[in-house]
Amino acid sequence: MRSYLAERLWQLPAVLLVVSGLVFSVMHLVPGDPAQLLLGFENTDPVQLERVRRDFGLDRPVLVQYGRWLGRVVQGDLGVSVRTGRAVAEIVSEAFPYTVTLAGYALALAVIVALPLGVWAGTTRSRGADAVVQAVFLIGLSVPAFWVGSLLILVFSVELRWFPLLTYPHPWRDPLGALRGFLLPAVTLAIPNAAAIARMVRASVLAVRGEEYVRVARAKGLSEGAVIRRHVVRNALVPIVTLIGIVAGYLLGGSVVVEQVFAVPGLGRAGLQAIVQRDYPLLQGVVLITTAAFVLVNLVVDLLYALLDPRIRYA
Amino acid sequence: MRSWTPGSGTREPRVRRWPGKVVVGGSVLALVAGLALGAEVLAPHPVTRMDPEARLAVPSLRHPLGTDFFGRDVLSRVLVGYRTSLAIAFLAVGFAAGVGTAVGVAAGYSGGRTDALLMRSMDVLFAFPVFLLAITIVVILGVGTATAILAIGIVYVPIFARIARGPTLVVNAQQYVEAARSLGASSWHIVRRHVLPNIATPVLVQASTNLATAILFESALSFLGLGVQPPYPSLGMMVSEGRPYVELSPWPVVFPGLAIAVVVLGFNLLGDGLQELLDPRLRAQRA
Repeated sequence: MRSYLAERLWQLPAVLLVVSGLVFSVMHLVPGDPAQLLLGFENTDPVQLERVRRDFGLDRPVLVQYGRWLGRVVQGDLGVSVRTGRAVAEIVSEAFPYTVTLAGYALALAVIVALPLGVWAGTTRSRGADAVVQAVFLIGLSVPAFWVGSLLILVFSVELRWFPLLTYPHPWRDPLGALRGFLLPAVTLAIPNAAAIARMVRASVLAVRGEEYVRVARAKGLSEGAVIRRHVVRNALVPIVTLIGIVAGYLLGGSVVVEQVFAVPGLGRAGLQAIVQRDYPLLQGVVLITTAAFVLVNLVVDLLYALLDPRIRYA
Repeated sequence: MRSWTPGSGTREPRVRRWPGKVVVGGSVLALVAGLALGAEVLAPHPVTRMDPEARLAVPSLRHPLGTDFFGRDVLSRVLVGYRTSLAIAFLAVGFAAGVGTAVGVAAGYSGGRTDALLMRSMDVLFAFPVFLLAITIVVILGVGTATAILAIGIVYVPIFARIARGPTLVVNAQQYVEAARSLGASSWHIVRRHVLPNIATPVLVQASTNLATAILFESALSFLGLGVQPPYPSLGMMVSEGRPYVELSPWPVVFPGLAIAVVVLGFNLLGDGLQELLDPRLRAQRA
């Protein structure tokens, strides 16, 4: 286990380095002069352009620029937003709690709904009930999030007025208020993921149910409930945990659309704004932080996976 | 508890029958494809014609799905939007399947350093959250339909590379491949005659599932204004155009979204059904 851990941890900086290189190159891959991008498009004063070039070291070779940029990033300096003049690190750290709260909330909802439903679908003897539940799962996978979100806002915020319209308490300062305020976006984000997890749970339970040790457990007279709890669910857990981990990573980076629909002031929305306003330092910061979080979550999943299934450690 | 005799558990008498999911999904898709291809003829009104007299009209005989804020017929726009969505999804998944399969086969067939290099670069692509990666590509290449296709396509390349590599490794180690090689067959011949037929099925099943997510992806990009550009209709953009007036009339939001859900459900059903057809374990275990 220790060597597996060491190997995975050792890969982490390498992955982050490559990712940072790609994020850095975005600035140089977009069409146009980087100095002009930094200055904003209204300002075309050649003297100022020249100063930006010198100040940001844009007259240096690209590799030197990358080295310097990376040096600053490692120290927590992500540059300055060209639109607001604020430090990117500050904007990102303000937005981060909202995205993490939304992702965590959605993940919790998805798992709470998907686990029992999936186990039930996998163990029920009724073909009809299984078909209906499977259809529900597939529909959950098929509805576009921005559409579900728009309709939820219309019904619950506008018509019924059960939820405040597009205002969110800070999750750290007002956790209870956040639980209520984030419910609609969290439900929207949870639906397709709950469906995906439930399908995996069902398939996994079905596969394990046919195993010989399950038959043995029944043969030795265990009650159906005990068979399912102790032998079926426990062994079905490995692929399920993997998928939950993938979903967690996806939620961190994939909430752009839902954040936009519900006007949640999170990372995804900041990134989208950066794109619309051509604020490349901000975009770099958002992509870098989100990707780093994504990579870290995936690492945790891999480790968890190895913890659950000893075969992987020695493979 | 069903009775069990050795050898009977994995084979059922009805193996040859198409699963219901394939039939239903296929029918839905055939219908949608027909609507999309015949959009020009079937659309009751020109997609960009605005009728100031009939803004935000409720569904009626004249406008079966109502009209939007500019008085444009929602049904006509949904039909043409279907064509756009399907075209983008097919091109994007086609690109991903083509490039991804090529990468996966090249990696699996060459082995060694080439394999490691190709698959590690796929891992790097995988290291990015997909949506963020796609919108970053859109930003680099500039907003537009072609960019959307490429962005979605690139995001899916690693999936196909992984799917293609596994079977390639297996086939490559078979004796008949060794025999072909010792008879002087070229690599191209071996790949074409032995490797590709063995990976075609998993790649096609994956493509069917990915078409579903590609349509959702495209509609999300269009919803954010990063895909198809107005006034040409796309389903995602129609939802975002309808949102500001949703309190006055929900129909311009409801119907395009429903249209997306229907076609995505069709692809998901088809993909699921094909998977069951190919993987007997998924069928046989149902008691």
